[in-house]
Amino acid sequence: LPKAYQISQYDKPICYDGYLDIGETKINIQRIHQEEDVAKMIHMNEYSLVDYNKSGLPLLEMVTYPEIRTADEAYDFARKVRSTIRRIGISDADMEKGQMRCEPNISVQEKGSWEYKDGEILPISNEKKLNPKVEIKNLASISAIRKAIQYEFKRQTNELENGGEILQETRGWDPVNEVTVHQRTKEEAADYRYFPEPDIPPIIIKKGWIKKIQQSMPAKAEDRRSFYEDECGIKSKTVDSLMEDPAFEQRFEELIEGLDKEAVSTAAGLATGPWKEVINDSETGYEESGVEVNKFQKIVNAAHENKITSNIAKELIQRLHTNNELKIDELINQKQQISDKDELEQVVQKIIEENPQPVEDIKNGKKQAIGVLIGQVMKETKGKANPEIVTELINKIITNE
Amino acid sequence: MSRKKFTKDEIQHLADLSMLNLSSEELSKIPDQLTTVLNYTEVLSEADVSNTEETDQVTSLDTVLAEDNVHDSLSQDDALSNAKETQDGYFKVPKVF
Repeated sequence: LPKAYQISQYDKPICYDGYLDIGETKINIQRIHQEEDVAKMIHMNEYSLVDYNKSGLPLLEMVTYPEIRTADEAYDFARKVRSTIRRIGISDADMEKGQMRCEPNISVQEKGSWEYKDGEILPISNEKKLNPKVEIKNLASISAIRKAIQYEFKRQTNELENGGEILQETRGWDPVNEVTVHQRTKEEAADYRYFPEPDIPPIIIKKGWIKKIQQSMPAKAEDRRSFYEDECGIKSKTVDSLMEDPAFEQRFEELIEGLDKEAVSTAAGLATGPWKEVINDSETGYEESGVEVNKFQKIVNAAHENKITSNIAKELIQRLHTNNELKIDELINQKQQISDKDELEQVVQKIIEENPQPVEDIKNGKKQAIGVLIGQVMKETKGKANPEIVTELINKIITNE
Repeated sequence: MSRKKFTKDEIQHLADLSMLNLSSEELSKIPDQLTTVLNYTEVLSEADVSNTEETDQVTSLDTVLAEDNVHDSLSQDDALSNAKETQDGYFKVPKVF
């Protein structure tokens, strides 16, 4: 910081005594405080480079209790933090861009020499001395967090096993050589010389303010997931795809507003399948998509009630994406699925007569040849035939021949 | 009421924190000088503050927040225009570590 001091909330944090669940493990969070970001520095062999773009901007620093025991746990924790931050829409939390940073503190202790009490790692007896911790900086990705911790664990263990001593220091991660290098010896808290900042009046956070923010927060990811999976019966892979991008998920929630719970699974299939496909293939994102609540729900309901086939539903979603003038009611009527057995039997009979080869194949046990016949029936009916009934009819006719 | 004298070690520690290189001559001179400066400020302790409420601000304001508005800032060229040395859009400075 060019003004030569940093403003920090220090011991008056905005948040304290929180936690974050990662799977079954609960990681307690000591505090989240606001402070000024500093300039970014790049250290070359002979000189250093400074970028002041973020210098003086506010950042939130979150401090966990010393409860994370493995590199994998730290990795999972960082991922959970990132997805939560993205979900509540406060940052893209891109580590490469420095929007989220992680500075793990690592200490290695002899088994049985310590205990965890009141949020602190303490020596088990007066004779035991704990090894100091080492802080790692310069981690530009979540996977670097895991690698750096694994490296640092090995380095400290080796050092101790060879009779060495661990220095309390800050080390920088070198992503090219995948090692940590000494940056500076850690200063004591007293060396920071904290004092009150008279230019910034106190900030008083009233209950009403907290309530207002709580009301504007999106539902927790776990709650949404259990709604989708347990209540709507959507497969977990589909839910992954749905929840991958919080903004997309939010749009989806608007689209299913008022829809029957039973139909939500069909809606999710259409949204994460054909709709995402056309979003990726076209210049139009979901924000500008022609897929709007009313028409989307008409397609979903028609597909859910088996009025139209999934292929037709896919086609309608994709056409609607680029053309919101599409007359959905008319199209659904036109493309109503044919489930009338008598009507379909005529078509199936015709296709079987015209395609002796696949029929022969099926009779010889090559069951997958049925796909060719179904495809022909679909072509003949312009995709409107109910595929289950078609399959049933083909099997019936061939067996009876 | 006089403060204890600064020791050479304390001065060396402060110099390290401030990233200053002190010559041995400075290192022997500064403890006395800094002790004098600090003793001078002892005059403050003569003020009677027994009836004064402790404070760290004088405006009595609270919760003064700025609107979260995005606006243009300096261009990179302007920001770097007074730098002695630059490289790739960065300020180039003597080695820090």
